[in-house]
Amino acid sequence: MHAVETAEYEALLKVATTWRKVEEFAWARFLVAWAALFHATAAVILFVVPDYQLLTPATTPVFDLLPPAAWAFLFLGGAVSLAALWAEPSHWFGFVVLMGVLLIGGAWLTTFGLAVVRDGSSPLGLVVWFFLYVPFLVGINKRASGKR
Amino acid sequence: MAAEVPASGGNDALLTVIGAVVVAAIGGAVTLLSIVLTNRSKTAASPPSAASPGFQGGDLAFRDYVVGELAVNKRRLDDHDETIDLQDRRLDLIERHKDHEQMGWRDT
Repeated sequence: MHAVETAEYEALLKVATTWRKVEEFAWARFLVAWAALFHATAAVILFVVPDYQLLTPATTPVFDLLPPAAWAFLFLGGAVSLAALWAEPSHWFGFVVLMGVLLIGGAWLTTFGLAVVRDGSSPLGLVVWFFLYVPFLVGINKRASGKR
Repeated sequence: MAAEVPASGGNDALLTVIGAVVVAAIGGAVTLLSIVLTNRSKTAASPPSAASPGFQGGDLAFRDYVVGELAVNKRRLDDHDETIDLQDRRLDLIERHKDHEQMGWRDT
């Protein structure tokens, strides 16, 4: 055996090492934890922040449907169920969590969409909610199928 | 101070519920579709193409690819070493021949 010292070999080893780190990172758990943290933070904000700060033209439809405290409980439920999925993957439970989380996110997405259409509000809120829930969906699906 | 917010009708609340259900239905459909597609690709995996070089597999195939590339590199270097050995032997022969034919050529 002799020492192999070529730029190609070193570059290949570097790529392989980096890929191994990326491959071994627990992406599904990270995304589910991120989603749980978001829902927990939203719950705390809905509990703590006074109603007049929460009530805007964009959020009126969603607060007409349920008061902030009820939404806080729903977000808290989402956070707890996501934490349970983080700890123990399960197909059926994962699907239930996904549906629950999408119902919450869908309601808020719709209310921001209505504000854009009806009141000419900024569509940025709509974009943020959409792009927030796409990685949540991916993470929940992966975790439900037992991925790390 | 509370901001003046126009009251929305019950229509908006209903639309919000419908929107939530539609989003959940789309998410559920995407999930089911991805499960079906994943299962189908598992049962009918296409064989790797020998004609096209380079990495073309999934995550798990990457390690095999790297190991293969390393083996190719090592073989190339081994061939390279053999070429150098051959050149050294030829040079030795030429030098010895020169020593016989032209004494002191090394000093010039």
